[in-house]
Amino acid sequence: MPSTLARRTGAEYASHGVERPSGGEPAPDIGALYRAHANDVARWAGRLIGHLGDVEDLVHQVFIVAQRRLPEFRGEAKVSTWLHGITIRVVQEARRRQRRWWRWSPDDRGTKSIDDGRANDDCACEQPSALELLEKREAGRIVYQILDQLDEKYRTALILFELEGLTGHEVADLTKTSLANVWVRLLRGRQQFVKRYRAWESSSVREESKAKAP
Amino acid sequence: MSKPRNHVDGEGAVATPSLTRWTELSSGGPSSSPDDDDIERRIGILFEKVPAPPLLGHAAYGRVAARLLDPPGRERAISSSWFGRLAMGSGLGMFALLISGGVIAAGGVGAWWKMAHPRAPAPQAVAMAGGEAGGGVRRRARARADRATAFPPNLPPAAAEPVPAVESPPPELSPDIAPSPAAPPRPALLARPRAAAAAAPPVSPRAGVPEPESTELAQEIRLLGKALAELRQQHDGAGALGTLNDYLGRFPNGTLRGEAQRARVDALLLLGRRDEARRALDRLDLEPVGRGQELMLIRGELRAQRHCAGAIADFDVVLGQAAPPPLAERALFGRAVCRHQEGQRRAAREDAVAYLERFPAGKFASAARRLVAAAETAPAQAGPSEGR
Repeated sequence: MPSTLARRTGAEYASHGVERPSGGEPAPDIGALYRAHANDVARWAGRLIGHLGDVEDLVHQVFIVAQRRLPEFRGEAKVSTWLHGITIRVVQEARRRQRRWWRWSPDDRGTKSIDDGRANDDCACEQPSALELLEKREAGRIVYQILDQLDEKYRTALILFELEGLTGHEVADLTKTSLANVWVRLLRGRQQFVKRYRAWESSSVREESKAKAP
Repeated sequence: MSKPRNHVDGEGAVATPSLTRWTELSSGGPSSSPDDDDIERRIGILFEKVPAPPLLGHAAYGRVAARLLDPPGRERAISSSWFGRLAMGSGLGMFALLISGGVIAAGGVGAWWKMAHPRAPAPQAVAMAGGEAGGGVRRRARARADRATAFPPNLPPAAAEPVPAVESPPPELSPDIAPSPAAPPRPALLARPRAAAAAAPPVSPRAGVPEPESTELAQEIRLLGKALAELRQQHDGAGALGTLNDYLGRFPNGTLRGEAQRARVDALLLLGRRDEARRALDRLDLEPVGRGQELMLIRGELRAQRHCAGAIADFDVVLGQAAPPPLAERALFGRAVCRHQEGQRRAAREDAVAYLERFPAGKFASAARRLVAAAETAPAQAGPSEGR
């Protein structure tokens, strides 16, 4: 993973079949963009939305926004960085809409998991063993359950830093904020996460002992 | 809690701080402060286990591509803002007002006409009016009848010996292609017919962006979209099959080849060409997830017509992958029937009992009960693989 978000060179455009947009040349073709980055966008969106999202729909929305903004794209950042930034904002907006919906229909919350999302339905990825799958699923559920309780900006920073493995600079570039702000968000996000994780642990221990009691 | 560490460069200036990731702590990185009770390490282990998000599958990739290259442009542009929504709402309200006003006015004129001209209308006019009024209803009824002929209900036979699920027609077994008036329209690839979309002028060609029609993927999408429209909207199996054969001939290694091959199976099933559908399915490399899981089930049901051993293998795979209830229901019943036919009476009975426990009011429930009874009255006819 690159440590900094360098400007995209002509060679990089060529490697993705995307024409360089600056200097009066034609803007990148949305088809080429989609072919080159659809799976990256799906991965980012899946990572950011967690266990309650419809990744296919998010990917569609990201490329709609990208198509609309293509004429404004001047190659000041990598295409992938530009798309990642759009993905973050699209997911944040989708989560805001979800929260508004849950306010009126709380029963819907948690009924959909990433494992029954459409994007996953026809995923041709390698299947782990049943036990591994169960463990991973449970870990994902717990992590996103806690992440979903955090403030949006802390949540996004934590996902990008901890799960996506981006550097502070990259998180700052993507979220259009200063590096100092990223560290503050990460620290506060971590504090909140640890606090909630402790609460979750103690509640699960209580439940376990209750279940063991005759 | 790990604090950010300031890196000091060679000149003594403080560069950027950095945090140790939780996942690094879990794999033996620098330990956190003891007062954290190792909690960050545990969180790191948890974070490491979080599964990677799935890639877009082939079908989802094609659906999104189709929606991108053929967007409902004007509607989307309007609905993208609150102002647009407000304007659309106001427009609808005005339209409703105009219509209701028109109806009231027409009613008034009609009443006045009746009073002024108390004559019976000419028979020809009545017939024409009746034809007009009833035409839509009749068309709908005819369409329903056609559909009923094409997709007879998938009921278990009342014969003493249960029959494999394949005796009920595969199209019903495949909800993707079974037309249902109550079902919501399929949102993705074919929200509107491709042929009409292709004939219409482009909605809003973007200046500076090359026309998507020029790319090979766009051509693939057009052709596959046309085939799917023929298949799922017009229920024209022959037309869809022709278009899909054309697609597979033109793009033998196309991006959407898998989707086309799957659609071809649907077209063959719609035409009742089950043997060809089974052979096509045999050639497909099916993954036991999503649509692949359903096609695997259909393949099992088709195989059951010839020899049940291969069918049982397919049913086993479907049932081993936590299939959604409608698929699990068919797979469980199909396996019960096949095991019964293979002479594995005990296993067949177990499957039938499991079916009845899980789907007591399922569509094969009565057949499953007969299967249980048949297995109980004819015990000890164990086949060579009874122990399975």
